[in-house]
Amino acid sequence: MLQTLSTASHLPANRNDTRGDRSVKARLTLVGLAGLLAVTSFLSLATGASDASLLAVIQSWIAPLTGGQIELSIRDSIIIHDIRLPRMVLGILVGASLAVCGATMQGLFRNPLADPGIVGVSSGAALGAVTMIVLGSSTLAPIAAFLGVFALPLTAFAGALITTLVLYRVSTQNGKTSVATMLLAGIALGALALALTGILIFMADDQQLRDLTFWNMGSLAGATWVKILAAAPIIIVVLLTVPFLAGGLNAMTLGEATARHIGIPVQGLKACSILVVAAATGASVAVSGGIGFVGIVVPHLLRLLIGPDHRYLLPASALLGASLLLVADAIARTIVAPAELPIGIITALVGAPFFLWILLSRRGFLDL
Amino acid sequence: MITQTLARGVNTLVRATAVAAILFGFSFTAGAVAADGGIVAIGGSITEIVYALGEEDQLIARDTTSLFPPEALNLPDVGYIRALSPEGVLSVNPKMMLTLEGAGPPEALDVLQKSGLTIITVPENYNRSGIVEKIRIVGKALGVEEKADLLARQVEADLEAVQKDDVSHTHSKRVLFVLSLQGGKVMAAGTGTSAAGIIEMAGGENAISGVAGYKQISDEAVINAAPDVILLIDRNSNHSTDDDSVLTHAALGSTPAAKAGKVVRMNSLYLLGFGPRTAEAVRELSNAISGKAH
Amino acid sequence: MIEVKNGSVQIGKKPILSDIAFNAMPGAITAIIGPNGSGKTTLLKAISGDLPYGGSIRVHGREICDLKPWEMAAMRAVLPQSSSLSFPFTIREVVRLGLTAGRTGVSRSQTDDIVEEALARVDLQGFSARFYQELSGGEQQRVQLARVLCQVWHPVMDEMPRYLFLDEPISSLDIRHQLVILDIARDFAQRGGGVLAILHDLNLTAMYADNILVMHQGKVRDFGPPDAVLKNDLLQSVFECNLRVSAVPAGNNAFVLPQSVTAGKIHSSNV
Repeated sequence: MLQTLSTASHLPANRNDTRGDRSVKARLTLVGLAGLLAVTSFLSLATGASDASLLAVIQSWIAPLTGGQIELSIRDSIIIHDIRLPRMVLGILVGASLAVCGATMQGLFRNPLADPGIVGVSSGAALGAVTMIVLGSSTLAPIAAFLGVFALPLTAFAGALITTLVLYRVSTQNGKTSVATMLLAGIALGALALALTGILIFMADDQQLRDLTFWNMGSLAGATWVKILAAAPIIIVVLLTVPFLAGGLNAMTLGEATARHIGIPVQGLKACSILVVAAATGASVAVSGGIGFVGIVVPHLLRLLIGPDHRYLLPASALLGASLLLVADAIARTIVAPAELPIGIITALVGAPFFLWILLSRRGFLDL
Repeated sequence: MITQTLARGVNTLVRATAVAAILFGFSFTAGAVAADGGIVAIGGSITEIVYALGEEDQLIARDTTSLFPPEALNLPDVGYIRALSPEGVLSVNPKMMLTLEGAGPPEALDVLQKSGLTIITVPENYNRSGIVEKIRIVGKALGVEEKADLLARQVEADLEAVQKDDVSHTHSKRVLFVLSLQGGKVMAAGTGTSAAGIIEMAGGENAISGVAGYKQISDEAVINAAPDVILLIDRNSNHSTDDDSVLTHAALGSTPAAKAGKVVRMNSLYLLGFGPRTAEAVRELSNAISGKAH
Repeated sequence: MIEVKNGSVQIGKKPILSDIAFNAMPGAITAIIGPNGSGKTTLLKAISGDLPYGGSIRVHGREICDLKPWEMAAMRAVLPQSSSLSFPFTIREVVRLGLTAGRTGVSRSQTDDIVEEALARVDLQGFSARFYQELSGGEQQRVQLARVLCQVWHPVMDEMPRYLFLDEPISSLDIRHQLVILDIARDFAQRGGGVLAILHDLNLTAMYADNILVMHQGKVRDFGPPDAVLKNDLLQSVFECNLRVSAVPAGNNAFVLPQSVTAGKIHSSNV
């Protein structure tokens, strides 16, 4: 009975295509992106305003192994070890975290426009961080003393978490997320966070104000090993957790109810995704300020390239996000050398038009 | 349709890579700076003092706020005083960095210190002795203490003279310094600011006394302040505000200053720099306050 | 077996279902019929584990509110009334999502073949490289069915019959594909699985269903085999229109001939 009924009536145009399986391409892309990250990391170490020679440094690393000894100038050593190297590490961590947060949030909200920077989560994180900067020496002094270097990332995390929870609560009803509500709620939450930040800025003294301006612009310039120590554990835990969410996020593209029918513990998945996004956004914002658009550009580009399967999309986003931020940072610190531009300007300069292009090419698909 | 989108995406990527490559190429060559062992001056007044001492040959770089004298603009710019790039500073191979108090970020200063660079921080006090102290510290750092002593005495004498001659008839004039007037909101100078310092030196009284720092104040507070003079930053600077927007402003327009047409403008570095030119600035300001022609 | 006893569902304070009692047996197609708003979809959602319910709903003797999502996924698959897909997956990728469920009884090495086979069953062989969003509504519905079939590929696993829950599976399909889908359901039941389907077409219901549950105003109006349930009086009062149940001479299948809305015995609308 079945055999007789299942004669082919429609033949697809591209029958000899990969039969719709993009996993091989995705794996190759992952390898390629890992290679790209190696190259951009090297470039990040090799470029800068000064003429410090990476080659000399590498020789000095290798020399002891072969019994030799190469005396390196203190200046070159400082430039490579204390300026460029922490900056590269921070760039990789922050870039990976921003892109992965974007991809995870887009999966959770089932929408390619959901990005912590756009829907107010970064503003919430910034509010948390500003609270700590301004009140850390007075009202919140005991907390600041207790948390030490983690005070800033953790308060930023708290700000991000509260914003994400409110956002999800407001924009999702009966398992359906309204994009319009999400974007509007994001704008409202962002504005609220900004207003509260404004109050704190008004209360800030001159010194704190200087810290704030610098930090607000979004930059990897303040990269130090201490900052890395504060942010790295959080970001690394997030990056290691996220692959476990991939299957669930894939199922979520069919909607919450269907994901549950497939056997996904949807509540747990949502809670975990929100926690992860808030933690990594908080950590990134705390150490590098607001760097926009990485979280929206990277996953979108990758979806065009390897498809939306989160098992590949999430690691690929981490790799490409890291590379992209390293390139943006290299541009930021060399284009007006010896001065440098805030990296947020570079990412926004590339990201904002790209974002408009997404909106343009998706006209008619968005259920606004 | 999908393949088209893909192709466009790849295209964008390729172009972006090309741009990045060009920029990298640029950066490789930008690194080569010859002069070794010079001085980087951070802060407008520091640079001015170095020039006033005639020691500009020792300078190899400056910060973004160092805009005077005009020759200084030819020096490489290592960034804004509060957002210095450590590698940018090191790239000009300095032996010493002379910096005004408040330079940062702290991480950058830490790394620079660690690299063996001598960093001399010059305190900033908005009064006569503050300027004299600046000159002496800079002179000592440059190894020209005698020249500095001479300049310091001269600046001190000038200031004293100005304050004796001109300042007497400006007594009890209330001066409101407006840093910006964006969206009709008045950003004014409160206590402890450079503007408050210069107003006091010129014999005026800062019209805002209740708040510290540069703050946005309400229209009512502006009217309450009842300034006799409104002081603005010169037109060709970033914070410039035109006369119309002051005179037609709801609160500013109703002040005694606006009614009498007493709106004074001065160049920001000249007015607020607290350097060798401050005596001159004080004279100009006190004359403007008292209404004497200058 | 699925047993519903004294089942009820409230949304907010409003009771939607009450006094629901019936058994859906493995090896049979149980059809749910009733007018719009009679609570069919709510009932199916409650049995799928999507809604809190009162009374008792058991699958294989276990109360479904005590089951974990992955335990439920191993027992039944659900075809929703309509599905949207938020990202551009290919058909293969969508269908394969069915195989990511807890225990599908399909080994990893079989995965690729089964995706193709499931697509062939719903008459979509060769579609695997196409994008879901490019397909027509009816084709998308069949892709979803292929995904659902993958989840419970073997109607009986570990000697435990499994279930297909279908919410209006044929509503957007042409006649040929309506038959294709209902044949799949019948095949699934004949091989030992159970099917619970909401249907609107009374003739196809008569042809395929082993048991029919008639819903009306949130209650079970009748439950039994087609020839016992499909009666003029009952259908006329439930659907509020005039119709006549007859039988084709050749076979034993009942058929329903709709006549008009106005001439019914229930309040006719002259407005």
